[in-house]
Amino acid sequence: MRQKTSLSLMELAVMVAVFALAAAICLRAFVWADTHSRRSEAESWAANLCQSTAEAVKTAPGAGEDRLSAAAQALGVPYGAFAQEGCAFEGHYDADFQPCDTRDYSYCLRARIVDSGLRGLGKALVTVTGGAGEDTLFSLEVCWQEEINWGEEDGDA
Amino acid sequence: MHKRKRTGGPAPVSGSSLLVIFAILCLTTFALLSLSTVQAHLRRMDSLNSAVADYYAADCQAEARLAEARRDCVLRSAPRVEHCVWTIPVSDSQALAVEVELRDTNDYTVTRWQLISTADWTPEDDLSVWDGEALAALPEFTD
Repeated sequence: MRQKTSLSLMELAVMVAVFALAAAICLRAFVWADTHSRRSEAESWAANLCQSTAEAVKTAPGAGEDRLSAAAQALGVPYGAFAQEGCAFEGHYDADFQPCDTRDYSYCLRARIVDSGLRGLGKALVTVTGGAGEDTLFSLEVCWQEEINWGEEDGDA
Repeated sequence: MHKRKRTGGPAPVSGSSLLVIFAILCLTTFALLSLSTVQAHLRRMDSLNSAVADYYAADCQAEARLAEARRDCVLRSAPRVEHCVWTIPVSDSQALAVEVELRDTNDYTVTRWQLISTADWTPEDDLSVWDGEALAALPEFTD
């Protein structure tokens, strides 16, 4: 009888150990899946935001900074001088991807004019950063045609 | 010395052990399912995001070619209206087709800016599709 009791205790101990091991491994898998799922959701949202910003910039009137200003107005994000040099506008979003205050943001949308290397061609870089390390979640370049008085400029050359 | 006789009964596993084994199986199954779901989701997101990035890269290339063509058209100022056509690859199966009418007055009209499929299309001939024969065989309806 005593031998049977000790055998049962041994079996229970082994089972508890195996269960703990399996639960630890599965918990790590669940945490990995949750982390990557959140990252994937953020990247998807960032891609959508970059795309809508790029379209707003492409369809906005004006040239250069005026065009970005009009796009910022259409998107409802503030336009002006910000911390990063050369940045034309910044939009801040919380962890649920809703627009929020500048202090408590999780994700940041930035757009700035970059040199296209061609006259008559405007170019802007749209970037969404997020996370603790301000990782770049998604970025794309968008180009548009700008009005230039070719006759006068090339006539001088 | 007494020797115990072996009996051919079931393995001595208690109910609690069976319950633990069942719980471990459930945990492992759910963990594998969640992992495979997340990996499929990641692959889908990667392909969607790269499709967006590839499209805007091709769009920028097309805009750059249009800017170059505008400049060349103004500098040459030979034809009154020049029709330009470009096809810029976006991915293995897609391309951006652009058609523009340029005028020497620094004016242009984009007549086509379209994402087209460049993959080979193979028609399915095995499906038996109704060709209207039975309708032709029906008697004509009169009032």
